[in-house]
This record gives sequence, C-alpha cells and structure tokens, in this order.
Amino acid sequence: MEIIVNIDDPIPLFAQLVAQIKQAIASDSKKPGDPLPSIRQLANDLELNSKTVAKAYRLLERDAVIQTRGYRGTFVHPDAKANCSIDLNAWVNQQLSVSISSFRNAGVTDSEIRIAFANLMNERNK
Amino acid sequence: MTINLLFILVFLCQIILISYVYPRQLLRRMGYVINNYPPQNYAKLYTGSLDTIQKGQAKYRLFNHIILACGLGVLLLYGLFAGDYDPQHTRLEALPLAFGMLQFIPLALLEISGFRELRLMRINDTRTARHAELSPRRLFDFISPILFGFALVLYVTFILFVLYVNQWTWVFDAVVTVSALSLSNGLFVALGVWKLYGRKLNPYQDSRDRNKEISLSLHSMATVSIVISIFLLVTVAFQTYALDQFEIVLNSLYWQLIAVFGIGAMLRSIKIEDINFDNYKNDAPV
Repeated sequence: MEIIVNIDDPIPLFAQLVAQIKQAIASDSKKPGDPLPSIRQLANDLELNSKTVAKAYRLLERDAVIQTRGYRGTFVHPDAKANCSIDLNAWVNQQLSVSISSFRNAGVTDSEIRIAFANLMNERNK
Repeated sequence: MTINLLFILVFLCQIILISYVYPRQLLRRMGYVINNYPPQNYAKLYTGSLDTIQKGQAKYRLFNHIILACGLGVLLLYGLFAGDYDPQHTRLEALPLAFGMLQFIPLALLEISGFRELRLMRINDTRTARHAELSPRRLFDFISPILFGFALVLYVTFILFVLYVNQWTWVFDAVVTVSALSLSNGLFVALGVWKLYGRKLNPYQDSRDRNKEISLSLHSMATVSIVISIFLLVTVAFQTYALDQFEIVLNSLYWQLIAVFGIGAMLRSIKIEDINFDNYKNDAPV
C-alpha cells in the first residue's frame, strides 16, 4: 500500500497524510492492528519535515484512528474503520454555522462575531 | 615451501577475483543497462552525457588492469626472490592485506561516483508528488534473526577469546583488536539504520527494488561482520599457538571472502534483468 502526497497541492501536507491514511483504512488496505511506519521513516520517504508527519499522526491518534504502543510502534486502532467516518471538521463547521446564525438573528454584526471569536481563541491559547 | 606454494595460489586467486572477475562483471552490467535502457528513452537514468559515462567506464577498466598487472608482477617477484617464507624474519604477511586495500580503491571510487549520480538525480527530479509505503521497515523483515544472532555471538566470542588468551587482562593488543572489531560493527549498525530508515537515495527506485537492496545490504553487512570476527579470531589463535606461517594465506583469504560476500553477493542476488527500469522512462507516470 502506497501513499502519495503532492507538495504543490493547496491542501496542507499533514491533511493529505491524514486523508490518505483514513482512506487506506476505509478501503481495508490497512486493517485494525496493522503496523504503520514510524514518523521518521515516513518523513524520510516522503522528504517531509518530521513535524508534519508527527502532526498528522497526532490528529489520527486524537480521532482514535491509530494508536501508539510505546517503543513497539504505531498501529491501526481497533475501532479505526468506524472512527474514520467521523469528520470532526464537518462537525465543527456545522456547530459554528448554527451559532453564527443565532448571533446574526440577535443583531450581532459579522465583525463583532470575528472579534469575539478571535478574543476567545487568543484567551484559550494563553 | 608448501606455505609458499599455497600462498602463491591463494594470492593469484585474490588478484584475479578482485581485479579481473568482479570488475568485468560490473562493466558487463553497466554495458547491459546502456544498451537496453538508452538515454534517448530513459533520460532520467542519466545525469551526464553518455560520453562521460563511457569515459568513466574506460578509466575504471584501465585502473583495474594496472592493478592486475602490478599484482601479477608482485607475485612473480615473490616467487623468484622470497625463498622460503619465514614469519619470524619477514613482514610479508602484510603484502596481501596492503594489496587488497589497493584493489578495492577502484570499487570505492565507483561507489563515490554512484553517490554523486544519485545526488544529481535528486536535484534534477522536478516531480511534486512523493510516494511512500504505508508499512514499517523492520530489521527482521530483511535479515534472518539467525544470521544476525550468529554475527552477534561471534563478536562476543571474539572478545571472550582475546581475554582468555591474555589471561583475562586488557593488554594493549587486545584493546586494539577489540576496538577495531567494535568500530567496524558500529559502522555496520549505523549503515544498517540509515539503510532501513534513512532518506531514499534514488528518487525513481521502485519500492520492491529498494526493499531488495536493503535486504541485500543488511545480509552482506552481517556476513562481512562474521568474516571479520572469524578472521580476527583465527589470527589471534595463530599468533597464540605459533601457527604464524599460515597468516599470510589467511590475510589473502580474508579479502577474497570480503569480496565474495560483498560485491559478489550483490552481483549474484540482484539480477539486472529483474530491476524495474520503467520509472526512468521519459514518459513514466508521476
């Protein structure tokens, strides 16, 4: 099973990696418990920064698509196939659009929504 | 006299094997690639002009012929003037070792030129799509645990043997030989890790060919480590049990075994006809 990333694609490299690994699991090319390459191996093979691959693996681990078992390496999560279909990005978009609609209905302007959102995000990042 | 005759035969084998047989096979492989995968159709395979490559081949052939002639000359002089070999009064046992180093110089130059070619190939590669296998490369997928274990056991055996013959004390000679073996094994480990997890040198290499190459490299390094351990073990044993007269023969056999398990193994295992050259085609898909 080969994955391909395109450095000229407007989609960020880590997102391409996440999508392709999920696709490999969804198409049964990778089954639960199958081992995955180490961050270093994948980064070297794709000539990417290891931080990019680490970010993709972190997101996949958060979504319970892969799991890291210490020094033994990284494996496909037992519930990976079901978790692959859950799209957190779509869920965030849906939740935000509901909230934004209710703010607009209450008369809040777009710039006020943006400022409030930015302030909250900045506070969380502090 | 018997040792002399034996040495002349073994040294003749060393000269012919490393400076004639293997260079000839390598040149034949290069010729096969140029004839079957010409620059007109396989431009990605060539970073320079065909003329430059052919000049390099001619230099490699000439260098090996000169070494071959020197070797035969040295052998003739040895046969005429060496008389009876006496390990107590001559230093001739270093002759096959020193000559072996000289014989490997063209091969080392060929390797360096290969690395340069691959670097240029990577620079010239303008593709934006990058491929990787979604499977981990693990040591024992490429090399048998028995072979690896045997190399490890021989390394430990050598250390214990050196200590045993020196009454379990670290004398200077023991430290030198153990350090030499440890350094060469350390180098093999570093090279092995680099081969397994390091950057892909040839951007167009098929993943199956790459796996084959990794397997061969690891196998070859483990075998060479075993040969070095055995060579050092036997050398120490010869010196301890007053069998020095065989050392000159052993030194010549050492290089031959290194060549057989190194370059010879590569020539035997990787058949040029089995390598996938489609990726180097002018119209190869990205």
